[in-house]
Amino acid sequence: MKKVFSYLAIILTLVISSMFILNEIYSYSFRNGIVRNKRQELLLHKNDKFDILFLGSSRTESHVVDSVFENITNLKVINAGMERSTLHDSYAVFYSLLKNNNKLSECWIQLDYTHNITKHSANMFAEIVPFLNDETLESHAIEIGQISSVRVPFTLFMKNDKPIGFREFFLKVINKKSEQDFSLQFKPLLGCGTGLKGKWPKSMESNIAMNKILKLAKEYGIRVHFYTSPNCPKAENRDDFGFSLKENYRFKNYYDIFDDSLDYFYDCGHLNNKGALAFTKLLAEDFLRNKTCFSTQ
Amino acid sequence: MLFNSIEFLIFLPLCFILYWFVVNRNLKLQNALILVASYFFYGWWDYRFLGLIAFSTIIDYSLGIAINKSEIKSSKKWLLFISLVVNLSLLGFFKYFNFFIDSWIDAFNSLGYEMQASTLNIILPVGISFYTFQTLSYTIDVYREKLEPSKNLINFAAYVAFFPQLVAGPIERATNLLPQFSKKRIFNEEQAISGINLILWGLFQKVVIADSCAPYVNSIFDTYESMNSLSLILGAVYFAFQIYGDFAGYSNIAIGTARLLGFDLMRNFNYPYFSRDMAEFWRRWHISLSTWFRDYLYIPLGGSRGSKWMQLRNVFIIFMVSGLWHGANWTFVFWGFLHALFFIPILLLDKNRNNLDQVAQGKILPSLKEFFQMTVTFLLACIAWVFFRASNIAEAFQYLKNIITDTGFKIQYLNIERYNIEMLLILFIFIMYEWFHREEEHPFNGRLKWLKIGTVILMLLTLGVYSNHQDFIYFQF
Repeated sequence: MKKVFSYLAIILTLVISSMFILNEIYSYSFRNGIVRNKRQELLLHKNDKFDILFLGSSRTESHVVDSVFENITNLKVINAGMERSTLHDSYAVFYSLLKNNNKLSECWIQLDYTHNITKHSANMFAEIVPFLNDETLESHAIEIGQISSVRVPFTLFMKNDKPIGFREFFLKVINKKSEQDFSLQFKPLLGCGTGLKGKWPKSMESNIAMNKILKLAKEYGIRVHFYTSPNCPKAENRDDFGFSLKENYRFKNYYDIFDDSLDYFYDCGHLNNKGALAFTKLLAEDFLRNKTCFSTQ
Repeated sequence: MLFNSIEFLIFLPLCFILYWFVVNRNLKLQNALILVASYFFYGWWDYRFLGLIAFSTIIDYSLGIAINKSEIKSSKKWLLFISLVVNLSLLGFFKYFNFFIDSWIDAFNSLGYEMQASTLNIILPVGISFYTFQTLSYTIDVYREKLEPSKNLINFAAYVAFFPQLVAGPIERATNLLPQFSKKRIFNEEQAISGINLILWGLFQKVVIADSCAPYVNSIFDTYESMNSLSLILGAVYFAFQIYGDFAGYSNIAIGTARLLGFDLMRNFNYPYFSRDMAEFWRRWHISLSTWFRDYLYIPLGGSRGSKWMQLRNVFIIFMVSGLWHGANWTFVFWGFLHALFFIPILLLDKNRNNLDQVAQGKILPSLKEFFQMTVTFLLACIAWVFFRASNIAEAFQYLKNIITDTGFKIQYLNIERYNIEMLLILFIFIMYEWFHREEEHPFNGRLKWLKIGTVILMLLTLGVYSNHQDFIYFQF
């Protein structure tokens, strides 16, 4: 029996030490290697200055044409909207940008049903894994129950092997540039339609990530604006949710502005390229007219 | 409970400790522990079907004793017949009921008779094909007087439900496994260490090889109409390695787990892709099933005795029944039919027992002839695998046709964890590991043993698929 336990002990030692070493190597290369997607770009962007940061989901990424906004307002903006992004992802981005010595004057947060999502999106969480040496990001992930306070090293890389597995690690090590152009922050949606992919919740629920964003903004003296993004009129519970938002936020409402312009839609929840241009123009002009609401929760 | 799950990682050491440190002085308690653990293991998946295993156990236990007690030949035959009917009826109902109903309706409709489909929503109990064949082998062997019937229900129930091989084999013969439950178990260090090595190698086969191939296979087979020749060929090759890694991996973990408990299970795979002909392939692939069919179907049918026509008939029967055993779909039957076709020339030329040794024994490389033979055998197996994997026979033919007609040899991009080149490199490493250890049951031997173990651990950690959990393919059979 002694021989078997010794044998097992050697194997376990090999496994555990490999996991420790791999965790360090992977984390280091993801934190210091070449940037290969927009999420990494946002988490690693350093020493820059922006007038406006747009935070939100695909309704920010594909609705706010940053170049058009900049042309109209003469301000430097960053569109940090990402497909399937939640408020927790936005918090991670906001926190990382500030931690990495980026200067921001204003933060525009697009409000939608993602307000009710209580965790990081799967994609963003995977990108955060190498940064879990940061106490703030780690404690937030623990607080929302996405990770446990007791973890076996490297298991998070193993569980997220598609976005941060061996392939991505290897490409980082050999400095292989991404074929995607993620520097183009606005991602247009091409086509026309009003297809529904689900329904809105009837009411808004509180979100601790939002509280943390507002706290950070206050700490760094950043003004926060809230707005909603256009949805087609058949979006179920849209108005109920909007009403619920009004009870909690002062925001500029745009969710029904294109109810008569259905050719602006890619699907019921997203504008197409044409709609995005019209919406950005409206957003920028409203901004110039000082119509946006400056608000805290 | 899956072998590659956290639950099993807790379950196995717990069993091991209780087995060797708490109940080690009492054989009855050890067997009772195995029985409880096995029912727990199975119940973790679906406790509703535990009754089915218990029913099958009690029936065959009682019939075994009755066959042995009966002194009249015709009574023995009747009792065996009852065992066959009960076991095959359970298998038939849970696995083939809807298939036969659908097939009958299709046949009548094709003759112009309008019939409405009315099938039942039957859930297939995991492993039913495996433990049914295991209990069948028991009653048949008792009938043939090759085996004394078990007089201990706990031992017999533990044999039927033995958790390492309950849900996906190897299909153990009562003559091999059942007597092991009656012998006092002494912990054998070498046996346990070889068990650990087999578990490690099986995990590698499953998590790195099979599960890495799976997304490619799914993607290529799901969209085969838009794939070019190269992708379709790779799809078939990846599936060949997926099913091999999956099933051989499961078998190795099962054999390794059994060894940790002091049991010896039969070998189920012996490097089948290094076979030089189809006869050799079937001596090396799913050995427990092919020998089961040989002993309980092929030989009783006459086997290789009798005229060539009888031999041909027997070969077709055994392969097609083997196909049907895998699943209730005509694709599996056709897969068996194809293997019979590939086997026939060897049989007719009396070359089915030509390659009984290991290829290139004692040499580093095979001869050109051997290499050619292995390549041809592998290609034939891949062609048959296309039918095994496809949703229907027409789709499989179209898949093969597209390889010839959609000639294109540019690697197509698929949004999968690995690049083709990466996947092929992993397979190359795997083949090398297997080739240089083809005369042993796993690669962890020799002077470089710890280097090989370390490399496999590194590959398990970095190249294993853990996000997209794939069930073992053979669970469905």
